[in-house]
Amino acid sequence: MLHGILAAAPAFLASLVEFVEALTIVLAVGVAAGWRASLAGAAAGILLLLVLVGVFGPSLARVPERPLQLAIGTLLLLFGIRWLRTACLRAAGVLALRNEETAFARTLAETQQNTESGGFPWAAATTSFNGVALEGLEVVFIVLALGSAAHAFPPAIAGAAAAFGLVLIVGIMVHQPLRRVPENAMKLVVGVMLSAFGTLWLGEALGVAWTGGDIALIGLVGGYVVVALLAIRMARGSLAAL
Amino acid sequence: MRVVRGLLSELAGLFVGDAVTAVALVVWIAAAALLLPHLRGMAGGITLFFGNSAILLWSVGAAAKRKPR
Repeated sequence: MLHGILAAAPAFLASLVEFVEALTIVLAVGVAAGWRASLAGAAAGILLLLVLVGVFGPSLARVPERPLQLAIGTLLLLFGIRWLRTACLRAAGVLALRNEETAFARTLAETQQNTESGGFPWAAATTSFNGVALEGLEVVFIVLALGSAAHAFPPAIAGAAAAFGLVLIVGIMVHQPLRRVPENAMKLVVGVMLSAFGTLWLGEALGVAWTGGDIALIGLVGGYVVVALLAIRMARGSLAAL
Repeated sequence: MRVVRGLLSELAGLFVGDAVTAVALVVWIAAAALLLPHLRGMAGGITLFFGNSAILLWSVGAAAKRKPR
């Protein structure tokens, strides 16, 4: 039960971050080149993501546990530390926070420039497709990794689907980029959780006897929170000293 | 060919933000694979956690010194 919730939470939060970014692109393309092209591109992107989960999900379930934990643990650790590093640098002010309005304006201008009048705007549809497919690729990885290594496909898929539904509903209601979403805080939480899962499974694959099962996971989450806060403090100190 | 290269680059980008950090993590994981089987109980897990944390702290600290506001 606890393992399921712990698998659903990062899938939900990571999906929320990625779908908010994809929504910005789909909205900009819709405004610049029309909703038919934008939604067609987005639908094709979603279809591709579903095919990836459908193809790779069952295949991963057949891989023996130890090699699977080694591979997924390593990739999750690389992925989690990458998100954690970016979130720490943004929180410290070393990197700029992502701004959905700026991203919207940039995509809008690029799409307007590349859209020719008359006929179906293929370039615009491709922009929408790329936005959904590329942002969604991270969601697919997280769902596949958590689903296969934690034997928690239903919670991981439910987490991603709930985020998709939420962004879709809010997107339809407000019809503009979702700038108030605390994207960096969510990115930090996801980075912490994925790094913890990665450490747990990599450790198991390398023969670590974790005591307490899920309790060890909670301990790792707490440990990475402390390390992330320390990293932010350290980065702020370095900036102040410059 | 360009599409395949683009796709591979996107896939690599999922795991590699800063190349030096990614290489440091991979080297540490390889070292941990040799070291951890010799450690008992939770010692291996704690070693793995502290190694990962050290790399994160070093990577964030180095980036903060490299990229002033």
